[in-house]
Amino acid sequence: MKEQPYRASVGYTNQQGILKNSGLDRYTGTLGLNPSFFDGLLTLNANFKGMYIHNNFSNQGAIGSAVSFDPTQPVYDESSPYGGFFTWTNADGTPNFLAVTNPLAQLEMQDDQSNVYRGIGNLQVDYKFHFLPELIANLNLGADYSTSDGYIFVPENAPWGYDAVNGGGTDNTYTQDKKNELLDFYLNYVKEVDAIESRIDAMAGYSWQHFWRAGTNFSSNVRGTVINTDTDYETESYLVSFFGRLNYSLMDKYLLTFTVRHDGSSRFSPDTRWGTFPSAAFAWKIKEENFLRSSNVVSDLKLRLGYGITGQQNISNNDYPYLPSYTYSEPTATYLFGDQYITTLRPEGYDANIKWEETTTYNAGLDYGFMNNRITGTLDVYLRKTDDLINFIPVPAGTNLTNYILTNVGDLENKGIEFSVNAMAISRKDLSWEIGFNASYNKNEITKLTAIDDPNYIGVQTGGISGGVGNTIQIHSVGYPQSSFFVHKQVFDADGMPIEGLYEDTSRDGVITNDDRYRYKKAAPDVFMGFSSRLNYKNWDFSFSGRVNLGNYVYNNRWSGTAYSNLYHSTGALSNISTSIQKAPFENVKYFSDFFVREASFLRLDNISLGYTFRNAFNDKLNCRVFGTAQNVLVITDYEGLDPEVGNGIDNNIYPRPAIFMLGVSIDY
Amino acid sequence: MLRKYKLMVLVVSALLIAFTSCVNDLDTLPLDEDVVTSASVYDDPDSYIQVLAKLYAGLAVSGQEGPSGDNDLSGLDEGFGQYLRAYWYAQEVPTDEAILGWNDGNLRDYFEMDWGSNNEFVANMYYRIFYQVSLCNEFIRETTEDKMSERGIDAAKQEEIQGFRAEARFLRAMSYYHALDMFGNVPFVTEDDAVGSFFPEQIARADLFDYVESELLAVEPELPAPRTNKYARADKAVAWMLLAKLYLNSEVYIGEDKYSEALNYSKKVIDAGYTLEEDYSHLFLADNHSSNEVIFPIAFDGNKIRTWGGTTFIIHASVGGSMNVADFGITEPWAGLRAMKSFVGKFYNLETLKSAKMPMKSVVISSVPRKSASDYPVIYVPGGYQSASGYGADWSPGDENVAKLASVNSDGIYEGYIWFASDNSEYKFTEGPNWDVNWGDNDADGTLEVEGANLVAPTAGMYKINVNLNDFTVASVKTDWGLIGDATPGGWDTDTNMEFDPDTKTWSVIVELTAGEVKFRANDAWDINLGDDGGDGILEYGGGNIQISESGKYRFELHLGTPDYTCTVEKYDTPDQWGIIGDATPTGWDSDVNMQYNEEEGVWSVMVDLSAGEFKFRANDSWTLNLGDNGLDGILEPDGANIPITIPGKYLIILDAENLTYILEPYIDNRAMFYFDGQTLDITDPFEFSEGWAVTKFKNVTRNGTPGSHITYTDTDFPMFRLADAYLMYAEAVLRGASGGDKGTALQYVNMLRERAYGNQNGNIALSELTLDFILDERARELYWECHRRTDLVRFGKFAGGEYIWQWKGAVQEGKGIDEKYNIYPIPAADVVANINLVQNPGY
Repeated sequence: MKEQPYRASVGYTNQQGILKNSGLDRYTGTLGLNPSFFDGLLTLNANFKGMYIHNNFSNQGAIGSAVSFDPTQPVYDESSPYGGFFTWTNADGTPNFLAVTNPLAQLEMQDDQSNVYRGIGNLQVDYKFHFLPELIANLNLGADYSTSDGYIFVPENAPWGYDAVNGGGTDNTYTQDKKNELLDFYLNYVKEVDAIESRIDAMAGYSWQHFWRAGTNFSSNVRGTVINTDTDYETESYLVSFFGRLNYSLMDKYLLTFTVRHDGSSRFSPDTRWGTFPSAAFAWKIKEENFLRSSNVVSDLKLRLGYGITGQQNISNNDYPYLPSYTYSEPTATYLFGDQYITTLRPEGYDANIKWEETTTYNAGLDYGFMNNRITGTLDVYLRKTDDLINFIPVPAGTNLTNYILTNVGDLENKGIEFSVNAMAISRKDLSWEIGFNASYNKNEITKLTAIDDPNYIGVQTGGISGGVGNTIQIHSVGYPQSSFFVHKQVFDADGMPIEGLYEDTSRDGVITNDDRYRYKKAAPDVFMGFSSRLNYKNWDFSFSGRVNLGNYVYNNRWSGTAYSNLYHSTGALSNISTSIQKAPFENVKYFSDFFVREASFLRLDNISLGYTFRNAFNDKLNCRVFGTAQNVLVITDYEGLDPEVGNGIDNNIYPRPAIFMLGVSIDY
Repeated sequence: MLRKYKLMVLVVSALLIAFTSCVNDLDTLPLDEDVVTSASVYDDPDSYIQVLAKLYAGLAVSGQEGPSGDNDLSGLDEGFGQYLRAYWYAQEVPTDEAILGWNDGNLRDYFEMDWGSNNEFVANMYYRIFYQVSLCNEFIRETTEDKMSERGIDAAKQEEIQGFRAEARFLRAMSYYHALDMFGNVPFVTEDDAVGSFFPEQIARADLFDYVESELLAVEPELPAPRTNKYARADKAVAWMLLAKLYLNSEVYIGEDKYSEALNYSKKVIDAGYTLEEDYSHLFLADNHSSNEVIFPIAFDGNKIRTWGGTTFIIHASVGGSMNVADFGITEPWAGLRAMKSFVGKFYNLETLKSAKMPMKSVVISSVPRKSASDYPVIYVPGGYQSASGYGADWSPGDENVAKLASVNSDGIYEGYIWFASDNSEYKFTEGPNWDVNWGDNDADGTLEVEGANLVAPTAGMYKINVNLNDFTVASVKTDWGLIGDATPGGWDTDTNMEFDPDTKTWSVIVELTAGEVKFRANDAWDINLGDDGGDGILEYGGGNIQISESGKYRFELHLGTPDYTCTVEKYDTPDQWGIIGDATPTGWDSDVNMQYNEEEGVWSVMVDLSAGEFKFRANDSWTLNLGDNGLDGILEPDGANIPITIPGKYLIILDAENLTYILEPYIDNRAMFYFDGQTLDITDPFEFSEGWAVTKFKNVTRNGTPGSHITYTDTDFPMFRLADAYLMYAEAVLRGASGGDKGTALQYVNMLRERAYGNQNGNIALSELTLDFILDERARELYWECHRRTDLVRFGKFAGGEYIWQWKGAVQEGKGIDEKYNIYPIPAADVVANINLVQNPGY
């Protein structure tokens, strides 16, 4: 107990954002203790991390405004009552809300800041039983608490919050609190049974998790006379599990694993909240067999077979989807009876029978190594079937207290193959070169969506786009990949230019209707590849890594939202539009043309690094490495937008991913 | 060892207890104060009215936060999903009354009338209806006597809640009526169907009719008497209104005539004590809750009942183009809704209606050139009278308008006429347009002295001034002119006085002459008289008589001032024909609209549809004699200014050409609330706000013009049912052969609406004009944009099919007939898929 190891650190980060005025200050402190007691039978590992972050978000809307603001207008206008910034106005001098707002005014007139306080604590207790050293007890306690508050202030004279009657602007304050707590306890028993060349590793445990969050949001005009938002929420969920695992290995060649979990979620009703999820795996270390043991070529070979069921209950925004409840209205959604405004009570929709989503995975894999493991890698094939997919779908009208309900509906299938190889191409004293490559192919298909199969059901539309209100560009349909684009087939003229509003009549009924839309491509890549390389020569090191995506498509919403009609507003204000208008010279926006679904396969060089290490410098006191790295160095793609990597496949990006060049020194002592 | 074992047992037991309590954590209930579980909500007697309020609010707001957030429905934009907005879209946008030019999803299917079962706006209406039905079912299910007794609700409270229950049943019946009207055959759920996973049966349209009828008849006795329930809540009259509508449309719904029932319930409403709002426009303003005409409103409030649908939508979407948003009590125009040309035609004759943007055609008016010699020697007469009398700046000999005397014979003898507008006007003479050499008259002795004293004209009037620079004498005399001669009514004895016009400084008179001679004479004496030697229009003192060869009306204009003196003589042919001309008229500036002569009154008149623009009166299709109105004082002047027309409509125009007066009496229907400045009538591009006339019916200002309580969320309530509708239903039922009423009463009801609309009896119709076609048009004029039009057109067989065509019907600009299937909407594909019991409506 005299000298217990501990570790402490403090940190400070100041980061300027790319937007004017934006940035963050972060202060961190960590403390780690790992004492041991009773001759090492009891070890404790305690960690605490405290954090304070001050954010200045600036006004993100300025990015979009900067792109579409008429570039021929001045930034400042001394006579403007709107903070001295040029502002499009109506004839009566009020701001023109249809025109683009001056982006510098957005940055300079809006104050948007927040403070986040966060503490993360973790305590792990390991106890080896004195009388039964094969048995280890482990207790793990964790807590992650955070509280944050913030405000957005927009003065009365800001043109976008202008209100001649009540005085405009925004005075918005909000708070958010989160508590995540965890308790894990398990007993682990490991026994070598030499007599039968077996090893038994059995484990049984229990886990408890609690997720709690609450928040408030209040927003009014600057004078406080008009309350726009006054809401608060508090919600929580629990997850409780009992689990067990049995590993059995025979002759260190044949490995068997069985696991079973019994999970309970507070999000489901007492009747459905428990799910039991088993898995089994078998591995055969072929290399250990006599016929290969002596091989110099094959240095490792292992076959893996697996089967398992997992359960998912990831539901956002609703911790009680099974529970009938009523919700009070906010003061802005009351109803008038006589001269009294009555707060209303709304019954909520629910699915009393909602249950775990289950995914069954079958996989077979091979781990290999050749030439003394200078070449290693894996090859895997898998089939993943998801049943009772938790999805948000329309209910038969009249059967519930809402039109869409979170329920178990639909099956999904993913199958694919994954391959990876790492090679130590050169391995000498002063020179080594390591290269790695991996590739995977995945095919995704929705196999069932609704309670009944109906070929006429087009599916669930998804993928909201910018433009119009409520427009979507993607669809989940049976027999197609998730989030396929759902578009009209564009017709082109002799010069290869798209003809405005002319689409193929895919239903062959003589008119172009929405039924002529078809499912065309999807955002997810078919093939994903990664590559990396590391070269060391004496004290020099040089490495790079990158990725390739093939078969991913992007709906270029920046293009589709551009049309000549955007150039001016009937109210007399002008906007800037994208040069893409030259490729699709449309008078009016045509959101649903497949012309805007563009192939976005790409190769990206993520990282290049070059370093030099001074060893044993300063009287052997320290090692010092000087390095330069570049991130996001190079992208090779045919995609015309700013960045081909768009998460949901809908590109509204007007903000290039920064290429970062960094010079650094790291010192060890 | 044993001790350790005991310890183990202890630890394990402790852990087991911990696990159990932790497992119980899974029973967590909502923490949010805004949420109560269904298990407890009805234990509180005060909850019931709050749930009832939600059933009404279901028509007004889209979620629990207002205007958006915590949406009742999912899957589409919250504002679109608001009940009234969805209903408005479905009932108005596919009709001749409105077009909504926003490029939102499949919105255009509505005005192109080619929607399919995947149209999200159709789905939105459908799901709103069933949301409302489900909520009502839940409340009805939870308010049975058994359940309330079980919860220990006291008897008085129970009775009150039974009243709530009747209102909930009415609201459910109303939503089912909307389903019946718009979708026909729909899934059918009642309070007997608990929330859960099942497939509701589809009910046939005729059976749903029976259900709605039976529900309304069942709850009617339980509802409060008309006008006794709290504002915005249902009473008996509200149920009667819905029954009247159900029966009026029963031929559409069940192929059976129930017009007598429709009449019966209309009559009950009419006799229930509601009164017409005096000013039609007040029905659609921010303070319309005070109207005694509205039978059932959907209430909105800028601070308490907020939505992106409802009247917030209607008002914002109506405003665009050059309209002044402040007039509507809002700040942001959404520029979406306009009226279709066919609907404008319910108010105006489209043949004669022209765009207000038509450019003014310049009018060339013939004029007699003023004969004047400018090269006589002159002297200048600056003075303090100049500015008041229209001669430029005071005491400015250099002013271009300064009065001058001319020496016609270049002999140093100067003469001229000067108008002094005020008494004691002072003046002097200068040799040039400067003060270098000037003369005044010291002692007022008639002799001029260089730089002498100012001369004075003692009283206002036109003076003849003579200056002789040979002997420096001056003489002035005030003159009033007249016409004399045997051609004049006074013969050679009495002058016919002329009028002086200070603006033009001319004397003029219009006079009836016989053949003969005339002269001009000042001050009723021969001392100063002017005649015309040689008939050249230049007048001479004592000159020859002016010959008048034909009798008739003449106009004389005498131009004095600086010589020469001239006159214009115009003979007024008694026109054979007067007419009007101008861009306000149906024929523009190109040809005249003839007027009729009324012998008895001696006036000309015409009833004509005028557009916004200008017009004049013109005789004999020629500009020679034309009359306009300077200063719009009702007195016509020859060659006067154009007469503007700002409000288009039918006008009675009466011209009294003898007395140069006219009457412009509008026969204007005040319900025609359009804004057309910068708007075209035809719609070639549905997405262009400037195409189609804008409508100014709904506003977020009170009748005093003050804006509502919020500039974005409107206070204006929506009149779902109002008395005027009951009048028109009564009249229609009578015309369709209902018993229990009569045409005379029907006409009286209709004319009450007409009189309110016109502000007088000009718009009243005769019994012979009271036809079904008239009723359909009158319903459009009275009830447009109030969610009646689709139902009305369907009832008259003019919605689908090809009998009545308006622009963009059938997705072509000129409009075309469409399949009869469009008389009802399709069941949304999503529900056909989700519910195996549903069969799609025919044709979809």
